Amino acid sequence: MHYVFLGIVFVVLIYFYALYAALIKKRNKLKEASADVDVQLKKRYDLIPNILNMAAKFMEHEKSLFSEIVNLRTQALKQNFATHPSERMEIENMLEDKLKSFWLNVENYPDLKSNQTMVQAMQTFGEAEEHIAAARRFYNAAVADLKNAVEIFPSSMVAALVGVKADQPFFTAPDAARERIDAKDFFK
Amino acid sequence: MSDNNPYFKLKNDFDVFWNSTLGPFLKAKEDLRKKYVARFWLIVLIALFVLPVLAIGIYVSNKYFAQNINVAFFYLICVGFVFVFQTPYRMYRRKIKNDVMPKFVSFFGGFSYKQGQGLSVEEMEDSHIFPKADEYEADDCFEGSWEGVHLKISEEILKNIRHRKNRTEKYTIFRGIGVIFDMNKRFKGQTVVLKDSGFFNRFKGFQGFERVTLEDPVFEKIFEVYGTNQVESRFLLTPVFMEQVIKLKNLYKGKSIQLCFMDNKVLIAIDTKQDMFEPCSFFKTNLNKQKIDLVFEEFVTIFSIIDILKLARESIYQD
Repeated sequence: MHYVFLGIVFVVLIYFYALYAALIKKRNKLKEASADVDVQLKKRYDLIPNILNMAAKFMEHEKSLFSEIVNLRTQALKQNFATHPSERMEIENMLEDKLKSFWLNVENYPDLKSNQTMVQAMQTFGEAEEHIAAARRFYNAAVADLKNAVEIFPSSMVAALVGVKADQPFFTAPDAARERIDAKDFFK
Repeated sequence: MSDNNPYFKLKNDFDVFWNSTLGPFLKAKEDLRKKYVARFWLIVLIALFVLPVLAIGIYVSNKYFAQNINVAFFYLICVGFVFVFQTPYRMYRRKIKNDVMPKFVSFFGGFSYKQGQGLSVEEMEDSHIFPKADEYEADDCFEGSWEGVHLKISEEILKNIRHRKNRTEKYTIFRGIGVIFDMNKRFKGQTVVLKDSGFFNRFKGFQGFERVTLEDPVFEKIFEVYGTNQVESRFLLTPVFMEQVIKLKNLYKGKSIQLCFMDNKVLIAIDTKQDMFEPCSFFKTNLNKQKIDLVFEEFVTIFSIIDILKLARESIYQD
């Protein structure tokens, strides 16, 4: 009888240890995903000065847009994504918005658009953006995994005991991207 | 093939090619076929004469002359004949394929045909999308470019050997094609897309690979993904690409499809469970276009993978 009781206790302990291990693995996976987002965003920041320098010769009338992009880039570089995800997401959304305007403006400068160095820079930038999108998807998957573990019983109990939280936000599309597009606007 | 099919014009061009080049070429090969068919029937006739005489001979010797000729000897002769029966067909198949296939693939421009020179064993084992086998046999192999995408098609037969008490059995575990396409994205790691095994997924896994859980529920129901880099796997398997892979799965309905991304290429293993790329019949005339049309369809289906996966879209990344 004594051994049966010990056996049950042992199995329960093993079960809770497995829950704890899975929870910590998920938290570490999220840290890894956050670090990956940082790495991929860094690629974008490294490219921005080169692209702006190249474009500055052609786009003299867009100086205010340039300075806004530079400021946002500087702000973004001050904070780490892993430690300040919400703030960084906000800055990233603003930066993306400005970069979108920048690329739209490039369309008005055919000489710049056809410049071979600029074409290559655009290609590299496109690749970096795809990697950023992939890193965000990895991050969102890791957040969802951890949130499920922290909120669903019985792992929620272990999470509360060891103090694992899942308060990291999801990456969402910026409001501008979610706005309904009216096709009529394009034919005005 | 309906008028809406993008390959409709290609089929019309192929019909012209048949009338001008391939048809007359096969017509000239008709005598060769007849020669081998005649050989086959000669062997059948010899067997029809030899085997009964031999059987009666063994019976009479054993019964009336007290000879002790083993019946196994007769069986051995029978097995020998079965092998000899197949020889004309095998010889004809090899010869006609080596003659016809280069001509056939010339229609698609710049394709080469090699028999028995398919994927290397290392390529198949490293990809993790082919079953582990004891014997690897390559049949037809084609290499060339379509819509600017370099591809290699290789028909593969993978067998396992089972040892029983006093005999050895070979059984086929994969019969289909492996197709390698150049990818329009650069990547360093490896991503493997396997068919979903349900409960047994948890027993899978390879050294250095992690399970990559993707957001498309339909895709996740059909496939499971393992990768050496989580971000890179998602870079390759974008939501749009996942939808295209589902379309590809529908194209080969009922067949197992698995993909491996490595060395800036995608390798697709399709277990068709049938002998493919057979342009000619042995007993039927070569002048019938049915068989060659079937090979054409097989090629077009493979080419359509390029459209479905949008591999022809110009690579935006320069080395």
